[in-house]
Amino acid sequence: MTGGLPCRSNKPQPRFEIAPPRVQATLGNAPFRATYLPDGGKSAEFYRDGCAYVLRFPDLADFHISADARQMTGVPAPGVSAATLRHLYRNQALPLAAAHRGALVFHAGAVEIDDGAVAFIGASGRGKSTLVASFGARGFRPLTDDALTLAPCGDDVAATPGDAAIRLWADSRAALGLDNAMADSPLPFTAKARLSDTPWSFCNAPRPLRAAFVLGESAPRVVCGRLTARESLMEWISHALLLDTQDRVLIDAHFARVAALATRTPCYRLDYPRRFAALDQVVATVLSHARGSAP
Amino acid sequence: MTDARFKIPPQVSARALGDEMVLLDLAGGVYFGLDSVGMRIFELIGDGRSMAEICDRLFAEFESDRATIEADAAALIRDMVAHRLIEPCAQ
Repeated sequence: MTGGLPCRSNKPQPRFEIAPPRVQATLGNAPFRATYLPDGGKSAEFYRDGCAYVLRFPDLADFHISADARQMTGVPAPGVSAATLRHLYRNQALPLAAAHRGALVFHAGAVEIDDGAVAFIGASGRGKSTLVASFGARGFRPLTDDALTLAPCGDDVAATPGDAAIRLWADSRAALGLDNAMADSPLPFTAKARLSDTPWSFCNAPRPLRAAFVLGESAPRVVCGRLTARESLMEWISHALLLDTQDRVLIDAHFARVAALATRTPCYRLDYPRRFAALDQVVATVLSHARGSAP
Repeated sequence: MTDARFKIPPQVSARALGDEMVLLDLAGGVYFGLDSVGMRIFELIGDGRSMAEICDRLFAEFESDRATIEADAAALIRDMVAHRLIEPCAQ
């Protein structure tokens, strides 16, 4: 428990500079890793530059990250907007840098419930943003919709606020009554609208993580079951963000921290119909489990 | 197979969570969950036990027939070898 003390992240943000736009030249070595979009397109490439790193978003931007991930330089490709560069920095480069400095970072959304937070773990397309927005619309402030950073908080871990915006497909916007919310500048790599001007506010302080929910497949009805610590660890690991997936010492230390997280944080698998009409019941199910009042 | 022994490569990290375990191959990024029986097999492999000795211990510790234990242990060991989470010792 936190004893009522505020939780703070002990991981300061890296020094970030923006360089003038530059055409992305072929780098001297092959990427040691790449990530892909749900449609199979390449999302990002990871290169080594001596002991440092280059995170490349093809045709969009390069981020040069120092070996200790405390300094970063963003280099937009010609014609890429400041909004796109900012989005890639906040939602991709910054979480990866935090992970490299020892934070636990996951593909997950999170919302504030009572004095704590709950996380929704899931790959792209599993409905994290829609669920987070559903809680927002019901008065539970979102912390993040896609990249969750956890920081030590007394005997707990705290979910820390991410980018104060949410990205939604048009059908989710309509179903959640966000048609009239002003969308930010469109991003060139997604048809989702980025909404920072929402009718509800975002939580701007870390909150102790009380529970996590792994978003499963669409199901005929809402089913929520507790995972074992082993199952929980495997889910957390499979959704973790890491900058350097080849540094064995770093990975082993990360594995130990995630194991501790899995041991002390209740984790549930949540299967539910992907119908907007079911969201009331999904929210109620999450609340009852997070508050310990589930049957 | 009964005299075969296996070893845990240095790049494999293991975390016990109660009576279950998760293995992570730090080189390949492969992770692998073990239930209580699988965790015991992995522990006995780490102790340097042969396949026959592992089955003897499992037969003494778990309520199952010998044939099932031998088949399940062999299948798990084959699976872990395939995922490079253990490797055969030189005879």
